[in-house]
Amino acid sequence: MTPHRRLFRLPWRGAERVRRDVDDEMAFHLEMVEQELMAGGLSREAARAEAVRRFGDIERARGALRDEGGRRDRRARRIEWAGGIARDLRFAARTLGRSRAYAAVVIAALAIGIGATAAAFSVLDGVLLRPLAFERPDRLVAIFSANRGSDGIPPSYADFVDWRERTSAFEGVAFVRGELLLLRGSDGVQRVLAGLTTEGYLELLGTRPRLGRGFTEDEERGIGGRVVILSHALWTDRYGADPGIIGRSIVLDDLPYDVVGVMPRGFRYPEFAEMWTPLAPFAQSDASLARRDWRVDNRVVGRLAESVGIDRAREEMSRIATQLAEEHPATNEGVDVALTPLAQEVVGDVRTPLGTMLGAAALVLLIACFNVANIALVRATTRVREFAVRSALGAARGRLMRQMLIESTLLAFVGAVLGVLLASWSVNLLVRTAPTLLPRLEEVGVDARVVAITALIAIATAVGFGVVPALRSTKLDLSRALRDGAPGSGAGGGSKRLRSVLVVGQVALALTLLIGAGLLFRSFLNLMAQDPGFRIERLVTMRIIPPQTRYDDSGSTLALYEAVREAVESVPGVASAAMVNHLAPAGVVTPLRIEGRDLPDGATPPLAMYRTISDGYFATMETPLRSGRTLERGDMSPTSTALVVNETLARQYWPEGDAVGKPLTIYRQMVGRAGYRTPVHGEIVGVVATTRGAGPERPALPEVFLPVPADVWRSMYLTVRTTRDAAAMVQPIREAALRVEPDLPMDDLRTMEQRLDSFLAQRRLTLALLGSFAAVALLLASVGIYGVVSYAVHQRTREIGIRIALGARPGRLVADVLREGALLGTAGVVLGGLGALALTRALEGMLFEVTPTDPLVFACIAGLLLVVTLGASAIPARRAAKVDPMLAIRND
Amino acid sequence: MELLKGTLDVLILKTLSWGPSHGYGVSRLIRQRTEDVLSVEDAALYQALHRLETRGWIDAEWGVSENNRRAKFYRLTTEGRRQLRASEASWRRYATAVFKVLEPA
Repeated sequence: MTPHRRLFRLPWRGAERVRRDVDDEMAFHLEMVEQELMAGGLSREAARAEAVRRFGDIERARGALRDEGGRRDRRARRIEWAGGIARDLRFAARTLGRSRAYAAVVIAALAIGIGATAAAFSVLDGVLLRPLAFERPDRLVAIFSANRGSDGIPPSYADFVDWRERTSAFEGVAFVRGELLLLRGSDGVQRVLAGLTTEGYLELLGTRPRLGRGFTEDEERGIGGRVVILSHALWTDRYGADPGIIGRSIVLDDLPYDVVGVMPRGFRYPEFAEMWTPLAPFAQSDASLARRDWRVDNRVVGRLAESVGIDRAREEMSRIATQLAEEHPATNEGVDVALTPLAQEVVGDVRTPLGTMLGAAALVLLIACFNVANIALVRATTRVREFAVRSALGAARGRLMRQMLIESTLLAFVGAVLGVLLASWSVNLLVRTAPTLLPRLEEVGVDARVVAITALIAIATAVGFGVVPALRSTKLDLSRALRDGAPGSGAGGGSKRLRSVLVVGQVALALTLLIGAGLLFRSFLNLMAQDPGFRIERLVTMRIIPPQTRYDDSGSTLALYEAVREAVESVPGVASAAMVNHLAPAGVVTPLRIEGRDLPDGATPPLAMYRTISDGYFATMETPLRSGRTLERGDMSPTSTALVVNETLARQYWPEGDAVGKPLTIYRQMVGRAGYRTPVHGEIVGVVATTRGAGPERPALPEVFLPVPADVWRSMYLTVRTTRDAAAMVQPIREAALRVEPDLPMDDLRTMEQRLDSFLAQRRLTLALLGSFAAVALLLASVGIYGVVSYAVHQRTREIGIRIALGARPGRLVADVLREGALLGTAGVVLGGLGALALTRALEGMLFEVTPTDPLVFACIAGLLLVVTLGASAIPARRAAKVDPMLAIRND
Repeated sequence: MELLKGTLDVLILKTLSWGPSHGYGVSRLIRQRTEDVLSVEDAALYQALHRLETRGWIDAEWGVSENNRRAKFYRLTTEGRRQLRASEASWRRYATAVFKVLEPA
């Protein structure tokens, strides 16, 4: 073989060239064969024909070779491209390594923006977007009873049985009842809330146990031993997620239960249930369950039949309810049915606060992006010479742009990773410290979905802040750029305008966020200023639940309440103790009948909250008395007719005169007692101030107070006024109660401050988050303004130097710079103000006694931003005044 | 004579081990060496050449032939050389085994 020119390794070529190569190769071969045959004596045409014949199936070969060549070519191109990217990445990393400050600032800004958005999104996703842990949850409906006065009261078991029998709109319904059971074990006694379920409950919801199995039919009917399925949380907390729990026996209320299953994480229906067990064995021993009017602690859930909508189901259930009302007028008169999609019932109405969070986070991200874009633009202008040289050496514009975009993508990626870590940390913190703050919060976590969304955001961000500088800095006028001259040639007026626009945008967005936070803050202040009607500090509350088995009748129950109260009052540090059947917001309602004010037939009677209290209740609560007297020892008898009402009720029905002395008829509300629904023809002996025991956000309701013995409640709240710090008194009070009755079930043991805190907790969290977002936004915006003004001064150093040399006063120069900053700030404030006027409407649901366009808030925030703007401009302004004209003119 | 399956690749590799060549050269060499007993269909030869190139056992570059025409030259790569040694060894084993059976006892 003769040596040839070698350039080993073919560079990649396009499809057209592949085709040409194949043709050339085959043409060469055919020609060589032709020549060989011609040398053997054939004519040209014959040789040609023979060569073609000898080749074989030419066209098929040609096609196969082309395909193969194309494949090879594409692969080579891919490798080349990947190599190029790898090179660009290394180059970007080196370049950024040299400008560490720039990289750090950009990464920090992006981490904050992306982290905030990722965190807000993951909370939103976990609470609102992710479907509930049931099968086809959109077909599940929560069914409540309803009567005038309240929209959703728990249904009774007897009603449920009839619904189940008569409905055709549901393919299945199931009933669950909450019951407090005493779990006794080697690591102590614990009260657990169990869900007692009817047949097919778990199948209806469609969730299979994660470990073990569901209940068998026999077990659900109460045949055989008692069984229980644990919730994931209980299994992890108490039993250390031990898989050997299946088959083990635990003791509940002194009876053995076999653990047959564990539900998966996130399954919590009803949300209070820590375990589930069949209802049947309880029904056998508790007669009250069968009572049609026993409407407490129960839930009914149904699965809509195929192609039946919730409205049709509503109509049908209403019809059934009317039938039941006719069949059982004593218990079901006026009782209707209310249907709510299960998702809504579980989640409640957190859509607005969560949406606000996400919106605020997105704004912060936007501000961060604008900031970063600004910085990137400035940096790009300093590299103009570098790009000019590379361009002159032959780099394609696309290549330069690609390299810049890779640089910004690298920054965005690092920022996103840090942001996700930040989000993960803060979400975990939130879930750990306040798991009950939002529904389903335990399901929230930074997971794959969130990471994927974050990645998308990061890429969008990279493109967002990278593209414009890339475009601008690669569109070069080479001769001007290469010439020694002012930096920023090729990035002149247009770039400056763009940067100003970006800064104005930042200020506007920051203003919007700040106004939102300001409005919420003002609402919060208004709420806190509300008078609760009693003294909150130094008050301990707890609920006592005498066990049914030992305290069946009014007499013994009342005696127990008295004994506990006495025992608690003798504890050192306790000033006084009193009892009440419910603490706000819980409570039952009684119809009122007022003499002389008869209603037309069929009209809804007026209602009031029904509270039974012991003597000394108002003294303990330190609720002011407006007129008349409170209930005293002498009133504490079953036949007492003394009633106290609150101001709201008094003003509603006796607006002009005094309610004291007026007759009022109410109806006993304790289900299961002989006197249920019997009237009490009482007389108002006193009017007290209205209390807001459920926090300032709930409306004030009319209340009527009755002595405890007149209608003995099955469980009561003890309120205790202490002379020492309330939190420290909780344990001693509890122990005193236990001394009266060991193992007395008690719950909701906390100070009044803790109770009220929990009502405001969500609002406080929203405010804290929004406030911190707004603060970050303000910081970013002020840094942005500083950057732009400072850079402008730097650009004009020569001009300033000349002016100083010509005799301009420094004060004038400072004023000029400040004016530039003020202009930017004002533009931003105006723009932001307009934007805020439009956007704050979305906050309406969360405001309290504040309009979305509250002028005070708007004015204050606008003022704040203008001051910050001036402050940020002041530093470069001072620098401008101190410019040394000699240096400035000589400088480049 | 028809080629047995798999033979073409090892023939090509061996031919190229004597030095780089274009496709026509390979086909001519095979014919010469086997004294015209084995003939390779050109279509199959070229498909095999391209396949081997994709696999990375042979390398290709465009050059100029003896008669000043543009031609695609192939040469053996390191990996190809290794494959050739392995194939040669297994062919020898195979042939020896078959001969052992065919030889008179």
